[in-house]
Amino acid sequence: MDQDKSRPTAKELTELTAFLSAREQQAQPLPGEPGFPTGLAGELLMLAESTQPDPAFATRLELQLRQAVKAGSKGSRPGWWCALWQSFSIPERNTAMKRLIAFALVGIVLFALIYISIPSLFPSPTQTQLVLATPPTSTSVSTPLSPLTPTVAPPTSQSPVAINFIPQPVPNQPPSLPSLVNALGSGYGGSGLGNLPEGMPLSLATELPASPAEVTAYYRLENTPLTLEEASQIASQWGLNAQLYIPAWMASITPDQIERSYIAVDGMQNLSMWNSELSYNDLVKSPVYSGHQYPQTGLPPSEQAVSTATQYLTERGYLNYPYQVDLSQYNYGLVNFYRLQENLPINYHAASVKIDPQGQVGTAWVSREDYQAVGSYPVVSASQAWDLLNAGQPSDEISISYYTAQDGNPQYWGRVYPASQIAHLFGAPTYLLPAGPEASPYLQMNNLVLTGDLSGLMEYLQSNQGYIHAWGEVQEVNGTRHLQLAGWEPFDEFSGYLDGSVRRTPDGDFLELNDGSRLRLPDLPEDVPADIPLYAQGGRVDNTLEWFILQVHPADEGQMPPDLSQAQAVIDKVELVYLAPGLNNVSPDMTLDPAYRMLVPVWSFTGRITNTGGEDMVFRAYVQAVTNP
Amino acid sequence: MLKLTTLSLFLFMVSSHPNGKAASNLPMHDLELAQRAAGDPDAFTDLYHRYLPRIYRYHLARTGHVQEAEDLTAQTFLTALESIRSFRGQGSLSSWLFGIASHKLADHYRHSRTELPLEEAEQLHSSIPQPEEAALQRLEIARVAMVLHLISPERAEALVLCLFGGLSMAEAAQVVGKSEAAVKMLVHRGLCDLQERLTVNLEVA
Repeated sequence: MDQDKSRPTAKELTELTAFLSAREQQAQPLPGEPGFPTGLAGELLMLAESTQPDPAFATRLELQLRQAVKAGSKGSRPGWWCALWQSFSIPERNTAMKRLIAFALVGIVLFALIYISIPSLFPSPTQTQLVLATPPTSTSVSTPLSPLTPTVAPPTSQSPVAINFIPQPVPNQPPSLPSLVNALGSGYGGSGLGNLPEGMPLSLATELPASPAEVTAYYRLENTPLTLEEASQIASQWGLNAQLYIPAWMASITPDQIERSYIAVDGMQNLSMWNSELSYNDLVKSPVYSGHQYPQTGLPPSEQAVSTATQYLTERGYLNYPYQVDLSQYNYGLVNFYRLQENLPINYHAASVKIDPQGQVGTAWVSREDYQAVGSYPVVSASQAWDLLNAGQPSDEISISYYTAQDGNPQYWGRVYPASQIAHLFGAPTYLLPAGPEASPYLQMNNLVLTGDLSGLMEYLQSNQGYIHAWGEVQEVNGTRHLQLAGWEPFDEFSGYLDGSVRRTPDGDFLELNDGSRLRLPDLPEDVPADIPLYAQGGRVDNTLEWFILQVHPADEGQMPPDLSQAQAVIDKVELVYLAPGLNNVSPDMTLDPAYRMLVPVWSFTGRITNTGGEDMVFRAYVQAVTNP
Repeated sequence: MLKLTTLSLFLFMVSSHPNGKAASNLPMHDLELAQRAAGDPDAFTDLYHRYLPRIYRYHLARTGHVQEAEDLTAQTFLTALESIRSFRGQGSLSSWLFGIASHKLADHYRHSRTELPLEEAEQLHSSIPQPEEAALQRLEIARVAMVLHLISPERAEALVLCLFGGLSMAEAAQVVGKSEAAVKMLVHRGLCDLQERLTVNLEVA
């Protein structure tokens, strides 16, 4: 058979996958060694390796960087001046850019002259600011999150399984708070779609709230590691008659190296338990499709969903604190809860419940965090915070993020496998080992529990985390959906992603690939439009695409970040909140650092950014609301 | 963003640990280097030497022009120097640096509009001089960069980050703000597109 030289072979793609996976462990092979990719990928890697910057350029740039460090340490020039000076100093910057900068400077001077001489032509945000930045009144500090229901008093029902916290010494005086930059990232240009221009015009479309005299700072307590006994109690209280498992990869690591997490499995329900949070999922009511989310239709009224979600959590002993309900993601079926501490919201969901169109709970998530007061601080006024933000300079006390207001989650369709039919599954199975004695390992794939002779597959998965193709009959026993395994084989993951257009014909439904070939699409949902370009995830069986997920192309695919050079932000909500920096991805040492465990009182400014192209983005800024003692 | 907040964590839990106690992927020496680099010019120089070839290759593969690549490389390191104190160890130093590089490149494209329509880019091929021994490497890179302009920017970005920037798929995922699986998909498709275009290109030549 002639090889199609216009496309990489499956072997080449598999080699590239393995190479990039090995790079993760810094163990990638060198050119000429076994495992180094062949084909175009290998050629490109070797081309990259042989490409070096001009030594003269490297030396010149190093010198400039050292000079920039010295200039910065003198602190004699403001940051914008240093940046501009450096721009002129870079020999690599072309002449056109230098001219552009010079013209821009002339333009700025001319604009300033016009601005000063004809102020009536510019009804600017600055004027608005002067009106609104008046001394604070005595109105309430807490501005409700929108859309929110009123604050709810804590219920008095069941108590949750006790959480063991490691006691923290209460200091005699408040500790120094970390800078927001250390906790969240830099001011301008932090997270978002690109660099946010310094000095971007801001204006207020709301009144600044009054400030309390003082605010209490809190420390997020560290939980003790979860034990098997505690996990069993939690699962029982959740109402599950469950076997307990641990992820298979965890079995080879001792508990002193990594804290144990446990998974309770009861039929199609599962509850994942960590010391600081719980996550529940019912695979029948809320099947997992690689984490895809998309707005749902036919949801019950939000009041009914709030009632269901609240009852669900309180019956299990959670939500036993003052809270606010956040319905901003209810189009996804999500009812979120913010915990209140001294009547101020902690800007981090304390619990979430996902309601399905039938009004049932499909998933739930609960934080098991608790807090300890460590002292009180005088509060920086909202007016002072606004002035700092509006100054437009990077600061340790400011963190800004922005993101597109457009829903970035593309529509998708997930496959549901009918009972009594042969199904072909392509993907990476979830592999769990029993946490206690007298239980079998658990394998689940594409929302089906694998049953039958799994010994060979388990042996394979102990040393491979790769994708597989598994097939067999779908069965439903006592509400649990199984795949009675008839066979399996390793599968190259790259072969499982296809790109094409849906074709509906009298002969059936097909995915037409870019090379013009067609693969049959079984069980295509009726609401998938014809001729729409789709990404498909699945695998080929003869001329059929046994798909698991179909997804439309993201609306922003291939687009460059929006131009923000002429943009402006309008702030329409200002409130005092506690900020809880995330602990998920920081190093183990940093999770114990008070700088990362503190609930930082901040003024939250939220609004919209619009640019000349009419693009709409969400703007969010936090300004530290306390000064260190 | 909402994808990250989804409650379907069943698959997530087998690959990561949510409370930060798990062994971090972050190489500590990179983190230490970044922390020292905030106040120590020698440390920043170490960082510079460690990452210069990779940042330069990234920009060269994306622009195809040595002058532009050097300019963008310089801008990337100057911005890194200005904001090194903001690096907080959430994610790798590589991802952070390439995030800056990616933004610089986006700004460059926005202002210079170097992306070419398909026909124009294919015509450009004939204007590329034939390889001379001393300039072989740059000409090959130029050819790759030119053909990269013919494929989807997202696929090109993922491919260059992994093959020229030396990033793992997880690190590239942090730079482009997508899941690791999505980056795998983009790299795969990008390589297919590139090979297809290079084949056509060579046949035309």
